[in-house]
Amino acid sequence: MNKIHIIIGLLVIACSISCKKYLDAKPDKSLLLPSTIEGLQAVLDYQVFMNNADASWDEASADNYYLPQQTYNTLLDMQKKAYLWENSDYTYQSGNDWGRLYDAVYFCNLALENIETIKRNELNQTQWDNVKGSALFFRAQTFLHTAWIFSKAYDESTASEDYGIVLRTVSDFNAISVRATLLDTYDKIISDFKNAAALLPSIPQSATRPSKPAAYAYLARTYLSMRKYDSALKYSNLSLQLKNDLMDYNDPAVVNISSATRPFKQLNPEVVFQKIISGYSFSNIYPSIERVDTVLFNSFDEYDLRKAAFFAKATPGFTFKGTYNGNRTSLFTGVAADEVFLTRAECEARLNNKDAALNNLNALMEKRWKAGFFVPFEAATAEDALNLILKERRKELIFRGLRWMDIKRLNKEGANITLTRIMDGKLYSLPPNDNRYALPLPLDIISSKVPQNEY
Amino acid sequence: MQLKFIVLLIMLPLWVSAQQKATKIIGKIINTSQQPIPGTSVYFLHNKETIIADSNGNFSVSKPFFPDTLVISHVGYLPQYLPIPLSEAGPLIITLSVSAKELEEVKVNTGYQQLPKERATGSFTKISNEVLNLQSGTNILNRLDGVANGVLFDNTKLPSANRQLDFNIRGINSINGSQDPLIVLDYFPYEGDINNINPDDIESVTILKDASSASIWGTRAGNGVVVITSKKSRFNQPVEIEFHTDVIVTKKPDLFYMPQMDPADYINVEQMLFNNGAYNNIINSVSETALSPAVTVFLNRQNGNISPEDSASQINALKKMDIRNGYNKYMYQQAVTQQYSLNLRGGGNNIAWLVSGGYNKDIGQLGNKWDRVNLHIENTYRPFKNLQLGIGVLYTNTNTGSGKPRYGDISVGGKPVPYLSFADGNGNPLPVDIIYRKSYTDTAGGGKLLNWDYYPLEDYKHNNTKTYLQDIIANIRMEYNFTESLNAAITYQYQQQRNTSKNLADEQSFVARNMINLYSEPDPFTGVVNYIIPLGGILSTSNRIENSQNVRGQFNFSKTWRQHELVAIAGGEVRQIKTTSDGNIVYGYDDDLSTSGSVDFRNSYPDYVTGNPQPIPDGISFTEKTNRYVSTFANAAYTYQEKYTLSGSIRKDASNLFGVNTNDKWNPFGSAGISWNISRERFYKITLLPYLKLRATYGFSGIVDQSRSAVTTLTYVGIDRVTGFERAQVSQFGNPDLKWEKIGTFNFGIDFSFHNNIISGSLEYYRKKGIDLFGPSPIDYTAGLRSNTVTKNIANSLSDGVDITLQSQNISGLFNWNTNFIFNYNVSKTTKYYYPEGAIYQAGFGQTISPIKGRSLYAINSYRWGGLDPTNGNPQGYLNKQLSTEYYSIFNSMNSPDSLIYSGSATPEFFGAIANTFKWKGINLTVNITYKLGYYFRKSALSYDQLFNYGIGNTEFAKRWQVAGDEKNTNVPSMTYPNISGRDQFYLLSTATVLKGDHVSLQFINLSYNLETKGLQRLPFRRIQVYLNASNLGILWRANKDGIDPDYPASIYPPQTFALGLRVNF
Repeated sequence: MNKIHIIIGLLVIACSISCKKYLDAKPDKSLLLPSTIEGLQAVLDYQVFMNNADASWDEASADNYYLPQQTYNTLLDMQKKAYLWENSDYTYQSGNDWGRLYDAVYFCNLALENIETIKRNELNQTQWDNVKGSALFFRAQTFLHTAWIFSKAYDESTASEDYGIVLRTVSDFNAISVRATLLDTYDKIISDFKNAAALLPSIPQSATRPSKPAAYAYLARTYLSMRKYDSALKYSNLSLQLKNDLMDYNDPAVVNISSATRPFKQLNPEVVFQKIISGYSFSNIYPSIERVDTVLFNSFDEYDLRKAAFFAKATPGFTFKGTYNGNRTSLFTGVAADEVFLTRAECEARLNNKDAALNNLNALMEKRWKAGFFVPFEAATAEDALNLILKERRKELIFRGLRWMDIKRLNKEGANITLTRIMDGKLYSLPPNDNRYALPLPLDIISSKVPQNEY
Repeated sequence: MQLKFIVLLIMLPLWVSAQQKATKIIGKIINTSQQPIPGTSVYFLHNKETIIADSNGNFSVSKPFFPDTLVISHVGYLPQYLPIPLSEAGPLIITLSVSAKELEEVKVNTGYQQLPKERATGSFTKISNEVLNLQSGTNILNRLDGVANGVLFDNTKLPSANRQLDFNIRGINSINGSQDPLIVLDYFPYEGDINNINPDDIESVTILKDASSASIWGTRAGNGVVVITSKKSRFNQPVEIEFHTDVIVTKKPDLFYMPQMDPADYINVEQMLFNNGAYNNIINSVSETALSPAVTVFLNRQNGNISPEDSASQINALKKMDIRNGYNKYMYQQAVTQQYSLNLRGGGNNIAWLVSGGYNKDIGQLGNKWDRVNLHIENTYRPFKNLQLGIGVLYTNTNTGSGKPRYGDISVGGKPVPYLSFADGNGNPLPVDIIYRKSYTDTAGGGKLLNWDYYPLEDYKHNNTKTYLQDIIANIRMEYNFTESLNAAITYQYQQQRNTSKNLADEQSFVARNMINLYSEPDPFTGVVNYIIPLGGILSTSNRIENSQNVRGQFNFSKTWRQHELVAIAGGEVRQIKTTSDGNIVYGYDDDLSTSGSVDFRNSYPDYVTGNPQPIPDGISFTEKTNRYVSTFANAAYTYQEKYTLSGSIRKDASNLFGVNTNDKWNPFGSAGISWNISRERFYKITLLPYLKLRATYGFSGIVDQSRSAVTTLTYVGIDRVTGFERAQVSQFGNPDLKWEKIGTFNFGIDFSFHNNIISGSLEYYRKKGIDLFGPSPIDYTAGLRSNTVTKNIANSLSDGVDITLQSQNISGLFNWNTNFIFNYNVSKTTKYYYPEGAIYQAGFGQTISPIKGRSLYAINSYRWGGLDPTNGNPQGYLNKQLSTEYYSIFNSMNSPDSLIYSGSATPEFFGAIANTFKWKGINLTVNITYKLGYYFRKSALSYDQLFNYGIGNTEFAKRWQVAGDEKNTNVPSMTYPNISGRDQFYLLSTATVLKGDHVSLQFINLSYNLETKGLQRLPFRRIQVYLNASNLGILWRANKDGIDPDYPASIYPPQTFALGLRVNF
């Protein structure tokens, strides 16, 4: 019997020592913990969530397109309502733009929380900075888009009262959401972008990754939407100093204007930061479902190469094919240098620098007009220049996810843009500065801490 | 108290008189054919003495104490309880009858030990070889249907990673984790495909149902355990040879059972949609998506390509077609399965051996071929005293081939058009536009591209998948007896399953031609085509290797002294399952030369049709997974006077959960049990009921869902082809608040048998309490978890159940009639659910746990149906108690638990089987009828959203509301265009689509002729059996009037099968 006791004893001891090691084996080779810089970088490099899942509700609410009655009839209820600015009571169902936007925020917060647990040293500082800068950038970029959709246009006089968005900065899903003021929202966005800019590289390994010029370009976007033109000018300058490539639409090596499906290449030289809509919450604006606004289409000059590059004939009307994503299905909503040129031009005009404004505009337009037919734009006053610039901005940045914000801020400047739709023989309109410009939050998000917009 | 007193009073005089003496008693034990039964044990219940009858069945006892009760028992016979009065002098002639089920001698195999059922406290169901053989087929587990108590086959639940088997034992316990019972083959969990096992290699199946099973097998046993015991040989056994063969024919499936929409109706809807411009997007799309034949006609007419007359006649011709005729005529056939097996076994003094082989060949309903070779070797040696060595090898080789397209496979532009034809009037194959429209593919590339047509009747010949599977299980066992009562055993088992799947789409297949065309770049000037994908076939290969290793060390202790008996085991085990898989795609493959072309996988090339740049799919994948488990276990049973048994067991399991501290990896299990063989008590005098045993167990288990953990983990998803960056995503969102799921189970059972076994059986009651069950809990999705729910401990549940088995011998003698009755009752309810205030409750299909307290765990909850609006046929619900068609407001008003109508359970509350067996001479006839009662299901119903957008119709369309007054006869909403999805959703989830599921089916009939050749020495065999078997014979009665099989509400029910077989023992 003693022998048995010894055997049992030995077995118990042997097991307790080796068990721990034995059980620490990874169940799946592809698993890892978010405790390494490489792992966090890999999360931020997963374009499916970080770059490709942009929201589409704002563009679907804007006036770049119309829907023929028959097309409208085939849409889902939520999409129909979006077309007529009638959405009020909707929930998660199989996902919505609110959720879609905050999904990206989660990854940013995960990266920001975990990168702080890794010591930054001489060997890893480049990668460390890139992870932290990228996470700050992605979060600010998402917050900005969320604010554009769900909040009113920024107005300095009311921003401290107006509803902003939920500024989620932790990955813990039990944390309670609180709706910040619009002032706090923009403050957070600006400070995140500024911190990001300080950490990010001037030249990214790929435009799918955030960079200094991208952060500056987004700061210019942010300030422009706040109508702070001097700051917008400052950051568009900083961005363009680092990245100012423009494609000449005359060059067939760069742009294949006649292509029915993809005149532009993905990650083309103009792209500063890659962001697209693939998988639309609102397929209203899916290229080939939407029809380009007729007046807008007709405003393109005969010698304007954009007309051929951007639009394809459809029955009825025309549909958009000019996405910078190089296919026909995903709209490009990131930043390209053309936008930054136009922002700089607008700011110069608003700050009364007529010549600088026109120079910027012409630098861009020269690349858009058929070679030999371009006559540089001229204007008598800065205001005339501004009007020209806004007209070209409207055309150049069609279906780039900017129009909704532009309408909101321009109406604040007194542009008096009223949107109208005609459907089932009825006229629907959205007057300037209407409360509906802040689109409603989902019903299942509303709580005492997250109030609904006022309608 | 009173009862006890009376019992005592009755016993007192007996006790006193027992002290008196008798001189001698003699007796003889014979069987029903008057032959003596040698070696029978005669047990004196009161005096606790056992004597053994001699070779002539005679016994004698001198100086016995009377009165006493003799218990006469022998293997294979029903024991007899014979009270002997004081004055008995003998001689006694005792006749034992053969036990039909050998109830008393049943030993249940738990996989860890063999346990006499009589001393077991837990709940076991044993399915003997004889019962397993009542059904035919190549899958052993399917033979449990209709014969295993507590087992419910349920095909309505969707298969998933957590549900790979189609049956449950005593209901579903885990909400999120695996719902499958653990399958054990002999000693260890079986990791391979269950179809690998040759049913002819199997001796019996034991089902472990209660908490004692969970504490024996641990983590994976929460849903019960099925222990499959393979055939073994014994020492000193004469050579036995068994040969078995059969042919099974399965009829063609009944495609017309499917709720497919009438083709004429379908075309009329297409016409309406076409007129409304609903197809404009598809017609104008750059993808050149295929259009249905009718839409093509409408378009040709609209474009003026055909005359109105031609259009009308073409449409009329289409309306007369039904795709099911084509499937029936060209695709489906009767399936034929052939089975052969040979089993040899024998044993000498120190060796016991078994060799068997099996071959199965199957041609399926779609002409798909399958064959299986099985080899089984099982040897046990006793090289010297006290040491026993065993080796066992099970080898399986399976080849599976793909067949013709099945119903539903062929669609047009993703839409299941119901009126296609596969051949013209002369039987010549016709093409079907499955992806692109013919008007495009005929002209694309100006003749420079490969033919782009798909022929359903030809293509399967050029595109097939072959799967080769090899499975080997080898085990070595060593058992050493230290003393009489203590031994140690080490068992090691290695299993490797190797699965290779090759899909070859040859040069002529649509898949290959399509891929080549999509990546073709014809030069517009020279006409020379630049093939990005080389001409030739496409070969996709995937390999999967699963290795599992198990080691178990176990001490067995068994000792009987005086009136005590102690049986105990203790040990530990370690197991590892390692799975590696890889896959790739080769282009330009030539099967004759086994050569392939080279392809640029890095760059994107424009899709020929849309121009969208796409990388060429490389199909490259690698995975490597390792699961490790460590367990320690012990259990013991103590029996006193063969009357009282106390048992207990504990077990701890750990596994290599990722990102969890070692201490948190251990799951504890425990159980305790008691049994009382009341019929062995001195006071027990009920001669009518000579065997009566009470038993009870209680056990608990704690389960950590393997897929949840407290920390957030990432998983690599591969390198981005454009940027070259490594990418990862979150595979688990950390949830530190997660507690263990705890399940406590109480089981109480009564085993009994009436005099001469006229009626015997068992009755069991169980109660399962689930605490802190995992489930989806709504969260504020601002959290960004890509979902509006997260798994939390959300619910408590309570299940009550009853399992009854009764065997009765209605008539015995020359003509024999036995009935085997199985009755199961199982009601599981949600007793607590943590749901946030104001959350919206959703109606459903009963597939997920119902969050409503007091209702079934799987409940059919619905929106209240208010009939169709008589003016327009809109479905009506109720909002604030008023009829309403504000569907979204109705959905959002479901904010209290009782706002949804509760129809009842989605799983049967009562189910079971009745088997009647008739025997006359060598002829046996068994008729098995199964029943499922007390539940509801949702029928497959019409959704206009599905119809308009995805082309999925429903036969209900014919019954839709069309004119005022129809609402009296139908609940199917009218057709409106454009459609409101909320309107569909409301109807689909209203009480209008709920039907009662109750039904009774004829599961199988088995007719056999058995010839025992004991007296006929001239014949070379000992026993021969010829049998005929018919199964899936259909529903005898159903509660619903729509002719729906509630087990298959929207899929094809299994067709009838007939088997003819022969079994010979030499």
